[in-house]
Amino acid sequence: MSPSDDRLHAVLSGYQAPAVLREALAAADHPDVRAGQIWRARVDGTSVTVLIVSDFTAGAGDVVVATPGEAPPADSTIEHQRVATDVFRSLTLWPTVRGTLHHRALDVMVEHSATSTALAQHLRSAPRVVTLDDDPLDPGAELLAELRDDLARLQAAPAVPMRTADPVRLAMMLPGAAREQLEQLIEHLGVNQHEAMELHRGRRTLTAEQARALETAIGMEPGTLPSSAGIDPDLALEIEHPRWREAARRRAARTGQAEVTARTSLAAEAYALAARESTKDPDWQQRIALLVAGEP
Amino acid sequence: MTIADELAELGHLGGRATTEMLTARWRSATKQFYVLEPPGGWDDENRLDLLHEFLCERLEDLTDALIAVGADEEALLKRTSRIMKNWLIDQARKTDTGAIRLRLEELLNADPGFLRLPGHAQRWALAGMTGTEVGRDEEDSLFAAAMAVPNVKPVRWRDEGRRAPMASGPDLTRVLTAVLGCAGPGGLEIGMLTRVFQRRFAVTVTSHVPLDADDMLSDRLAAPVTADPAEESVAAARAAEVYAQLSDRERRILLHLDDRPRVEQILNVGRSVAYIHIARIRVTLAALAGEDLDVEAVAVELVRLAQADAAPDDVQDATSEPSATTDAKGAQRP
Repeated sequence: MSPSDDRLHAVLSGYQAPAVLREALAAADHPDVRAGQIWRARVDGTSVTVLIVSDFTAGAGDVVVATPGEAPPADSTIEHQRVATDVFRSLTLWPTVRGTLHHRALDVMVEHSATSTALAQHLRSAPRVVTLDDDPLDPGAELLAELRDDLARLQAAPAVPMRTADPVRLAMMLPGAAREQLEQLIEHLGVNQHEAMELHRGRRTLTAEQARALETAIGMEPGTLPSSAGIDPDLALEIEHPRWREAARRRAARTGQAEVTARTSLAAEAYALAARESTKDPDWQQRIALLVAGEP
Repeated sequence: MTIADELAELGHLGGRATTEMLTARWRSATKQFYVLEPPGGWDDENRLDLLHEFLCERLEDLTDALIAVGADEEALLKRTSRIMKNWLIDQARKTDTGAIRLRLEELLNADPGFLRLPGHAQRWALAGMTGTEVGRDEEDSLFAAAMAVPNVKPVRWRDEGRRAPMASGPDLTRVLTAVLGCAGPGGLEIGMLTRVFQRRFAVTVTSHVPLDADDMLSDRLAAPVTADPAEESVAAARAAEVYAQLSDRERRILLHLDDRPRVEQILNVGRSVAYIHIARIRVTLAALAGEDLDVEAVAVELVRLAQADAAPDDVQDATSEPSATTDAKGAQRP
């Protein structure tokens, strides 16, 4: 090692992250999601810290992006709040980078303290800031934009295909204007105009094949569109809980599948396991735990 | 051992893989910031000195941020680059801020039309104000006053190794007069004046990506100005000036201002970042609208310059007509 390498090594080793932060991450805590918790959220290539602002219902709720150790330049006018919490020495909250997130994107809970709860409460009660036009020349504009894109990537985390009991109006889910949506349905599904109208208005449900074909044709993530097939909604909600994420990742790494495919196959096996029993309302958490315990 | 494993085990950035990653990222991050480049260019030693300066300010934040990222190596690299880039932008802006402040003080001291307010070493006002005028000294009003000054032209930029000046002295004095006139008899601190000028000339002073080494633009700019007074050549000269102010990233997207998905693809960024880059160019082009020239002709010439520099794919993909792609008023055309 050269003297300059030695010097750099000495500097880089000169600060150790707080033990409380390292321990919180190592604890790999995955409780049910509640307002006031701080989680790390993750999809491939993107990792973001989020403060849960509202309790999650049906697996989703309101979050605000937070950055440990990163803040906008001093002369930026972008709204932000720099705080210290029980775990983070310095955390910047970005109230304008806020949105609904599904628990499928959450990875590990890092903090749930009186401090983080108070921060969430404050954000919940504060009026939502609607930013129509960010100043593109603000010195923090690009950082803010990157955080918005990160949140969007988390929000787009692919869902397991879920069975829907009630038809859903595809008009609410497809891109483009009504006429364009109808043309997409006719073109990509090979249905006639009447059938396309029925699907569009939610009087008929897509089959699993139709849903996959449409998702592929218009570039949606697999599992985005509800279909008459797919995973039982309660099981889907459970299999997407962060507590099963590591198991799904291990299976994905072992089999070379995408994480969502590994989750779907875990769910399918849990369903098959339950089907062999006569229980009317299976305890999906228990079934999945049994399955995961047998995984290599 | 991976970087993430090292970070989890050590809790600091001094592991071998982490150190290698940081020095490699630093090398590529600093490359773009020519305003920070020492005389004689970057070498291992001065690059390392700046890295130590960065670590002196940001080691704790960087360590905490990277520890929090977790095991995703791509995310770790992205976070590292982002933190380094933002610190470097801050440093570049500090050099800009210092340079702007010095230039403004020079102009304020030299012109008797400006008055240093008694008892306020750093506060300036327009001389001859009666004291009864009502001023507006919030930044947005001041910025609007600065933007409203017509025909402020950047100085032709021929030196690749130096930043382009904001504008000529007389033009800057006109902007100073407008801003201080807006502020009224209470005047303004030099810090606020600097902020307003930095915002007014933001594209000029924060453009930190140098011309590519093989860029023919430098030759075009160094060529003698055509003496032809025809509007066409005035527009061409103005377009070349504006083009010189754009970073190479901005030049690459000039042909695609109405096509955000294409900009995302070209710059390999997400929707919001693409929007920011497009919006910055639109602000630059919108400033042209206040000038006494044929804005459409400038826009067409800008597109011509961009096409001359662009990769063949970029030109082919720019399906819109040039004038529709580059609306110099900054507005998207139907």
